Amino acid sequence: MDARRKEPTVKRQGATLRLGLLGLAAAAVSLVGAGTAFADYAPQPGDVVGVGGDTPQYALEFGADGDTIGDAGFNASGAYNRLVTFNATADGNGRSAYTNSATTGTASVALNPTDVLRAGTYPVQRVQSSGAGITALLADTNAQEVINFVFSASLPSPAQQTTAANNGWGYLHVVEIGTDSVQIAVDSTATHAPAGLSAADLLGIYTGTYTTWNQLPGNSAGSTDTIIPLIPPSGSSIYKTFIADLTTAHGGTAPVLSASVKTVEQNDPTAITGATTPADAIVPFSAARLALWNDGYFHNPATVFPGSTTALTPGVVLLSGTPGDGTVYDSPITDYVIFRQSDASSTTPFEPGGSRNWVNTLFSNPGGSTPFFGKGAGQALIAAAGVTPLYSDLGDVHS
Amino acid sequence: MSTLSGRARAIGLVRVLRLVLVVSLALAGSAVMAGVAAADSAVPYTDPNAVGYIGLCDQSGHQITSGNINTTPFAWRAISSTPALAPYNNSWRTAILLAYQPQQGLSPSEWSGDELTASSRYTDPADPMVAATDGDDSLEDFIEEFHPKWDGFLQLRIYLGTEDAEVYSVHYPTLNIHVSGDNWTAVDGGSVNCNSGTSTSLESIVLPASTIDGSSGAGAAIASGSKSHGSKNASGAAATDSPAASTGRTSAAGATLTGSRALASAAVSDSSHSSSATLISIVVAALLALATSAFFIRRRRTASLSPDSGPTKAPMKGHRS
Repeated sequence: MDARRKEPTVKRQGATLRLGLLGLAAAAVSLVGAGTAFADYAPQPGDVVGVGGDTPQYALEFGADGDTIGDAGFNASGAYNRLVTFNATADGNGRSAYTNSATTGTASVALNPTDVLRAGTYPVQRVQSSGAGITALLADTNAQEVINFVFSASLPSPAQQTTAANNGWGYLHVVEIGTDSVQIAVDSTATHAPAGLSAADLLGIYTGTYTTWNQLPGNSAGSTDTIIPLIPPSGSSIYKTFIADLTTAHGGTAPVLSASVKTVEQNDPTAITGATTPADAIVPFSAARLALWNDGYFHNPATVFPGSTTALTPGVVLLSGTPGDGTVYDSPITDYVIFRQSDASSTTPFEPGGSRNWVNTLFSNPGGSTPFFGKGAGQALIAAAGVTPLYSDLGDVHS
Repeated sequence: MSTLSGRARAIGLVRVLRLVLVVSLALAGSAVMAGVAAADSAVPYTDPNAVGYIGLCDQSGHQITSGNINTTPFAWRAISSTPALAPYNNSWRTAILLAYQPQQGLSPSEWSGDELTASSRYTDPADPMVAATDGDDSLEDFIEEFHPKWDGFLQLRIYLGTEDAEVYSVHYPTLNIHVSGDNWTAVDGGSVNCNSGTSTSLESIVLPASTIDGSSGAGAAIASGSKSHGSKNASGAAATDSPAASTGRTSAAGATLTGSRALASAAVSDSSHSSSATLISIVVAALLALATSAFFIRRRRTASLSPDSGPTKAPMKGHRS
């Protein structure tokens, strides 16, 4: 009798255990976050995609996704359609990509990195500069847009505005979101550079007139070491700004750079710290990017997941002192967002249940409530990226 | 037979009670952890991800439950009744206020929404707190984008953040509000202490005071209990210590961002471990439930073993032996 009764008892106990486990499992499942990991995100129809230059890339990235110290970006609301930005640099630490010299035995050259701008499309060459971004936008003429906007440190040219009009877009609409500046970076540990360098000093250095520090005006007591002038790639906004300033200092004539000028990655402190003699190296650098470095955004890329807890230090500082012959070099640079004017008048809401299109929601909404990048929350994230926020809806403008 | 039947009934009763207890505890735990909001008759929907409620405060530090949709910002402070849990209770903790548009036929996770503020640092992880500024939205700004589609209701949520982590939006406190004409009215929620701590918007840390006029001042006024504009100005001045926009230079910008980190850390320096209160409450509740159930089971068992219980007595003893 007891034996017969034990069987259902065991069954009941098993059932009880199963129910309990089921309950616990349900409870545990409820604790699992919604943040499921997935591969690189390929934007879907309805997502707003931006490409552009290195200099403003983090301002847009922070605006979309927030910063790393708990400040939420636009996408934090869990919007059905998302703001997606593709950085100019293929690397999260802002580094350029190069071919593999270790296995090929040949010297590394700049790689053409790619990205997938829309789900279902082939990888295409990554837009790596502001100019390339505007060119790509103008070439995106299909009814269903691949690229919706460009983040750029330069304005569209008159010819590009004409192309936009010919594309039936009206014009390229420009919105200023912030400002940055190009200054001269030197090694923070020890440098032979004087406290400040003027545009005239730099013109002399980069054209080979001044090759040692003591040749600089007002610096005869300076080091006799040879100056190592570095410059970012010619397609970069830092290069363009710097060369434009040297051209101005040269009386409007483009300077011929000395053979001693070496090309390095844009906004990369290791160009200085990794130089043969860091104390003699100088390079034009984005003030905003260095602010991001100083804020501890970048971590050691050699550390595997979950990554290093110690932030990298840049090892460089910007010259801010008064040079012997004038004003320290400090050239303003503006960060823009550029989109088709035809999108500004679209009647398609950005989000389900919404009434504003994506341009009105994010960048420009004349007569309506302030778009995300113009209001406090968006501007604060731009500032968190090191850029000085300054919102201005410029409309139809060109360089 | 009657003896066995009584014994079986007693054992069955105990097992049923055990089963009920196990399932109840599992369901209760699941409900607590999943944050199932009690169905509120005030709104025609239920949000299974909702945990706790949000209280709103005005610039003077008084809780508000209604207002005008055109008021900017919508509210000067929003406070969660639910403590922040690890890691969202650490020294980098932040909170942000969002509004959502309930839509029939869609789950709450699919509703469209937008941020009403920037993220804020706050002092007490037991009371996640969002500060607004003059640079933030009115409710009308949100409604212009997302008109109420379900009987005039909108839902407010607070999401949490911290360093090196995605925004926590799995569970969140809510406040459902009803919009009629130019007015909004809270239809649920509860009482909060508007002066239980301080909160600082990122805007107040990194933007010039002129951009967010009066913003951080409100926080100071609430934090100190002062309602004077003197406090506003004092705080506003403090906010100008780190305006990246005012200099645009690396050293200043760097100092600003470094300063923002420092301020963030300082803003939460009185971090406590009160977030464990929720866990303790759950454990205590579970223990109480167990004790109560054990009491009733033992009482029933004792009753069944008493001389007055008749036929169940001997079989039970016999079974034990």
